[in-house]
Amino acid sequence: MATVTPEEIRELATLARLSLDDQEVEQFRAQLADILGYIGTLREVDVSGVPEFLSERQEESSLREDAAGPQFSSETALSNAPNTRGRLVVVPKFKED
Amino acid sequence: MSSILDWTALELSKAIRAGDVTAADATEAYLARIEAVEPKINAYLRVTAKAARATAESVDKKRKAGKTLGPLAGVPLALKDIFVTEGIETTCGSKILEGWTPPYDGTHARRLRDADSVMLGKVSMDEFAMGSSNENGPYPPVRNPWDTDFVPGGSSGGSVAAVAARTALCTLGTDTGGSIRQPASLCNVVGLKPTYGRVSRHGMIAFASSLDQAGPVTRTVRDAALVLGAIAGKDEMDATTLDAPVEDYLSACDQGVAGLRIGVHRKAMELEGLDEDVRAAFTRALEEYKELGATLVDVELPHFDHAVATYYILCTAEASSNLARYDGVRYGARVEAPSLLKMYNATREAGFGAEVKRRIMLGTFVLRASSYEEYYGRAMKVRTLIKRDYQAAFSQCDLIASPTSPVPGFRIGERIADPLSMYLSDVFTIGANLAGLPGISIPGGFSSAAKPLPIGLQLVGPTLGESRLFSAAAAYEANTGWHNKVAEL
Repeated sequence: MATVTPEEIRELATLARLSLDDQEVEQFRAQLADILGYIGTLREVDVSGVPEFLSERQEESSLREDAAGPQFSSETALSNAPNTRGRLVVVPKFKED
Repeated sequence: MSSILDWTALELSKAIRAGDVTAADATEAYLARIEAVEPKINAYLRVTAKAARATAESVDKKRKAGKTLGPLAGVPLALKDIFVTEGIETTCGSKILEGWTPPYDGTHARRLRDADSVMLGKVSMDEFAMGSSNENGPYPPVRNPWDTDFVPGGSSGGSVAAVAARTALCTLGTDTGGSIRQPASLCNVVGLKPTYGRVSRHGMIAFASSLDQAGPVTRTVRDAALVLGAIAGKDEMDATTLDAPVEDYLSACDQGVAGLRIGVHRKAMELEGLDEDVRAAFTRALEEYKELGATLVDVELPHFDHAVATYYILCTAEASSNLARYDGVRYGARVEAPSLLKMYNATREAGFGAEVKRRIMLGTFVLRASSYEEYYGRAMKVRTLIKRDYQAAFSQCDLIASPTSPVPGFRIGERIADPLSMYLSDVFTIGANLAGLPGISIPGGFSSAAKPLPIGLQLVGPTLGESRLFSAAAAYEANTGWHNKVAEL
């Protein structure tokens, strides 16, 4: 069984842009410990000399022609944005107090 | 005369092309059926009746004008809410996308419309396709039409429940680790996950991009062949699509199995927790294949036991990256807060459900610099080994048979508190996703419970082996007739 501390869960939540409450922290701590214990069984596999996976398409991948295609107007593209001003998306100030 | 609801997509589209019935008749029959049974099932997130009637009318007009109708002429179908549909709200089963109205159709919606089908609406799913029970997310759980106390499976639970409840003739689902095949097994319908790249991912909301694949859910194998023919093929909008020709999948359904070598991974049958009824149904299916002229070959998949762990490292890593886009800035829900960072955090905290957060957290963990090599890097290497296992097995056999799900089903609420037990319901299906191979689940019998639950049979083929899967699946279906059993509602 892997051990996970509440501090590690809080640090992960910060990286993942999630603000978990204390109850969620404890729940995820226990569940992630359980899951990490299980996925840790991969350590049993000998992977020496084995390359990382590539799909068939990736092995022969190429670039497509760089040509302009149809595109949305800015009104259409912004039609689902929660807050806009003209052709811009409005967000709160990015500097923390 | 039989009810229009009894017809397969192949029969209905033929009758509509011939003018024996109209697309409007078929659409009204299905809309009435939705009205009657949907409250018991919760398969739909939204029914687009007005748009469906308009489409049906235009299909009928096209026929009257003497124009040739497409292969899915007038077929009433529904799309999992992961597929982007122009002007129709698309939420991917999540609060974070509530109210999002896409400005474009994805390749699936477009190709199905070009084939003259009629879309009835969008069906329910586990939030962001994460789950095996359709209990994850803000919407009421979808119920299994065979026993409404049971889950329909997931994540394409709405897709299979609608077909089983006859509220849609066909649906599309998506399958990242078994999300088409496992629920198909639980609801006695046919579900196909094509080869990775056989069907476009354009306009399919991303969960784990190297594993996600769209496919049909239908009542019969031939209907799955018909739908795959309409959606498969190269797409300029998705660079991972394969440009191999789209085969005549319907003809493949007539090929039979004489001489076909069916691989059986015997060790998988020793799996802890494999239900006795599932084991018995599978053993019987193998006997039936022998009677049909196939031969059985024992194969080894040495890394079978490591597939679930590999999968949950890779899919969560990809999900944590893919779902970073939901930040309240450009689309979807936003929770206002005094700073940008606080707005991101508050939006994601309120918008995502528990399973989605759990997977984002796990994915963030395995991708962190300090654990990358040990988890993500290692899993990518084991994935190569799993792919090699299948390549070696397919040098000895033409396809591999197994149960689809280790159990016939489970009750709503039974596994929701224990994510790991839920993850293990994908043990037979995950290998095909990791190796990029096609797999199909077909009705394979029923459990011995007082209220019997369906049991599925899974066939996995080599890369682009869809035709072979259809040959074997159609032969089994014709010989057993399990698909003719209909849930009573």
